[in-house]
Amino acid sequence: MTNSFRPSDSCVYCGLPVAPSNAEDRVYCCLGCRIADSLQARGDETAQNRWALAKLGIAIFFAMNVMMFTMALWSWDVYDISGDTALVLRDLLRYACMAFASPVLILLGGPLFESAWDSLRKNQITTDQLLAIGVIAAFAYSTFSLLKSQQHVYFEVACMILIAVTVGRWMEATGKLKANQALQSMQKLLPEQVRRIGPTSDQTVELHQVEIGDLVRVLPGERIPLDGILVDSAGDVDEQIVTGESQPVCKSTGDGVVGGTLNLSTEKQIRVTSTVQGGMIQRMMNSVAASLEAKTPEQKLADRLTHWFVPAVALLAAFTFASHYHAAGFQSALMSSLAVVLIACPCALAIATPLALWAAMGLAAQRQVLFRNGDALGKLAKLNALCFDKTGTLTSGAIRVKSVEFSDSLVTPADAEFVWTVAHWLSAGSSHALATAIRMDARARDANNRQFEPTGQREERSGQGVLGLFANGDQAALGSLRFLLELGFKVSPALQEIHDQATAPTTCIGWNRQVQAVFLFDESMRPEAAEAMDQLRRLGLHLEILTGDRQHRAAAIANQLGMQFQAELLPNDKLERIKQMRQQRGAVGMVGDGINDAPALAEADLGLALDCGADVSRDAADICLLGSTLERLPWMIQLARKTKRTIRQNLFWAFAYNVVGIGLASSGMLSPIFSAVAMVGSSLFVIGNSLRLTANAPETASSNHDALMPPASVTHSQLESKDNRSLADLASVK
Amino acid sequence: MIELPLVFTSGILGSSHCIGMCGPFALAIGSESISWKANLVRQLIYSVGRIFTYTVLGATAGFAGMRLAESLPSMVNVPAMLAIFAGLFLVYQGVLATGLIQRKWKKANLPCLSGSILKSFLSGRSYRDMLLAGVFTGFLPCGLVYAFLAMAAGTANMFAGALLMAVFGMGTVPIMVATGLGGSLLSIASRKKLFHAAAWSVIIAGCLSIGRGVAFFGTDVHAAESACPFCHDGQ
Repeated sequence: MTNSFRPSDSCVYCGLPVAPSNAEDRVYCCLGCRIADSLQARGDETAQNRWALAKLGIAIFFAMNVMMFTMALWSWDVYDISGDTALVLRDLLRYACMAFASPVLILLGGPLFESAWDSLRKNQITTDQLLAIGVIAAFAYSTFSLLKSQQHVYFEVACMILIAVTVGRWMEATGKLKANQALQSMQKLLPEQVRRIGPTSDQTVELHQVEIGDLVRVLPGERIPLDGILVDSAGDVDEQIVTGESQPVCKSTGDGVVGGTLNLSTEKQIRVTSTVQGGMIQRMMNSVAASLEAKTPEQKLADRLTHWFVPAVALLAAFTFASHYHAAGFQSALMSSLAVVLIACPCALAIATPLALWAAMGLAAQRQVLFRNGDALGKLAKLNALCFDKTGTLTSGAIRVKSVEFSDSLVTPADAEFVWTVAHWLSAGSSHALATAIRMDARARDANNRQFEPTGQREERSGQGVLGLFANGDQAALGSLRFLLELGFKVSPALQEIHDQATAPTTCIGWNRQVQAVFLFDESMRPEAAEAMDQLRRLGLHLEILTGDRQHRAAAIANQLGMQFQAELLPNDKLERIKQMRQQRGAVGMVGDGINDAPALAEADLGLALDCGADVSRDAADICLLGSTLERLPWMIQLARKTKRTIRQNLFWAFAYNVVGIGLASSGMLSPIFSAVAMVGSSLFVIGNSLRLTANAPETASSNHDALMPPASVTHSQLESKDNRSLADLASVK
Repeated sequence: MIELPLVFTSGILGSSHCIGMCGPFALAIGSESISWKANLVRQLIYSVGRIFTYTVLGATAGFAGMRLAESLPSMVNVPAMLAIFAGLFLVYQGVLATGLIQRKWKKANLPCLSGSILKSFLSGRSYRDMLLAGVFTGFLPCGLVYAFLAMAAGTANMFAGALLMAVFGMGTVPIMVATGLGGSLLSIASRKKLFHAAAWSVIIAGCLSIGRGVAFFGTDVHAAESACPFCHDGQ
């Protein structure tokens, strides 16, 4: 993840707010984020990381011994041993407790005390400070009691607090790392070393050393390292990672290629057009990273609670200490207040929402669904109705011109050529699916190479067409018949007839105040549309088509899909319809291509743009889908609803656990040992519950993405052995 | 304690059941070493780590059983009930292993957080890493371990519980070490036979535990303690 754009008053790792400080440029909300950030920065297998883990392992080993000795001490009353041997044995066990507890304090105390001291310098009150005080108090009291008096020893409490805190934070860090894994796996697609073509020979250089304008060589089977332009030679590229389309794309020289995509055939030379930071993969990751920071209402609530939570717990702990000291003495007071601090540790509360969101968004990003903000996931779960743009959304994106009907005045081949030339010029002013189809066809007819000097004055009227000016000042227009008629163009009865009878979309072109030709298109429904709409309906959504296309054309599609429809809508009509539907049904989502229906996407409670491709920062949409397969829609909605459920469960658990736990602990009914275990257990519940989203994710029909990027659960649950053959062999026994 | 030899046997045979889960760990540990002698040392250290964890768990279970027996009214014979519970659990595990009944639910694919910790130690080279890998392996969820822990709790005695689990752990050593050393010393057919023998051994251990529990029901609550070799001195 990139952290560069984060303000200094939020955690470097997770973006949670922390009290602003000018002491340090990197601030963390908790020890867990500190660990996660350092793990990510250093890579997974470095010596330092291993040592940190080994410390935890050794400490657990020692603490297990301490627990054994302590249990033996606790058994005294049962066996009723007396005499000198017993006293010697008892002292031996007590000293053994201290001897084995000291390494735990040395190994695990350091990071906790450091973190506590850090926030103290910044005038923050954190649970780390309370826990550090607790550990020191328990250890110091026990040592004093061992050496000077014959009171109880509580070395095991100090050990358990340290281990519970460290294990809890370790799990938190691992959980955060895992939730982030989707993004990480994207970045890992980029090769680390690049073959740069030098003046005499190729050099192998690090990825970040490549500069814009460099030529790089990519062999078949390798991933293209950076965005660029193909210089030589044409061949297939697998662009699934950015477009979601599993079909390879044939690239010819001069075409753009995207870093991270897979070169399938031929050796390619690529002129680099962006650095790693400016590359498309990085932009996609930034977009997701930015969305992780946007706060949902629940998250804001949790943040606010966490802010007053810690001071409140400190007060409560002090009060518990005072009241128990008065009633039952120092030992009881120390233990009760420690239990309060441990049980009230708000770790679970702080991670309840973000972790679930991260897991879900990461998973979605793996399937080329990019959320522009965290709120979008919540809105998606709440949707009651979903509107669809027709052309390019429900129908196949690859629309082709079927035929052209010319007006009677155009008879010669030269006239026809002129129509194509003008059409090419005008259509270049719009990215509407129909305009694109005309442009492609015109290019195939070489219309772009003919002698033609337009003024360059050209203007797109959203949802209607394109208007241009010839050099002589004449108006030329490409668009719906309605658009041309409104401009004052005349249409011959013959063309009017053709237009009205067409069963497919049409576009008209005109100049000299006359409609000169009508383009007829081939439009077919996406093969997966019916199944996807069926699933959406089963999820309880009202579905409706909003199109500018003509009535009978919309009806044909709507009937096939069993949806309601509104046809012949101008962009403003679409907005009106969405507003109206919101009043009738509640939250309305709009699915479109994000360009010509941008106003509708922005007006809807939730805008989903299909086929975002390189343009992931399309502003009108809350959610961008790379590629255009519709079957991801029901999957997303299921995921969103599941995530929402998970967040609710997490928050309920965290609150309930804290309320019940604090009650028990402040009344002195809870031993600090059980508090520590409960603290870890609570965090574990939240982490496990959130990561369950990635483990049992709802499946889409096309799971071909999985081959590219396996879900987090698969990669991590396998403990790789270097001897795979023997592993398989063993597995066959079972 | 009459069961100790049987616990040991169950450990030996039962561990062939565990190879499915823990065998890869033993292999991973061996994969780094040059000679079989060095490998043997690593395997033994790994097993010591496992036995250590089993022992601590056994002590905790015994301690918990003891406190439970104490805190409940004396009409409730806790050791006997725990023994019966442990027996039923063992029989269930054994029957599962024979394949006579199938588990209805599939194991949930929960992401294993402990996995990343364990993996780091398993791929380490030092003896310290071996020992810690063993310590953490001991904590891995395993039906067989839980069943014997229930048995340890049934002793209602910390030391007896620790001893029982230590003996169980020692029983698992031969096959785990053999797996780590050779992996292919036994043919697949003979491993299948061993696997079946293990299943029945676990079932027999379970039946004996049930029988013991039923027999205890008629006796004094604290009778079980007399079986503990450590406690005779004190009484």
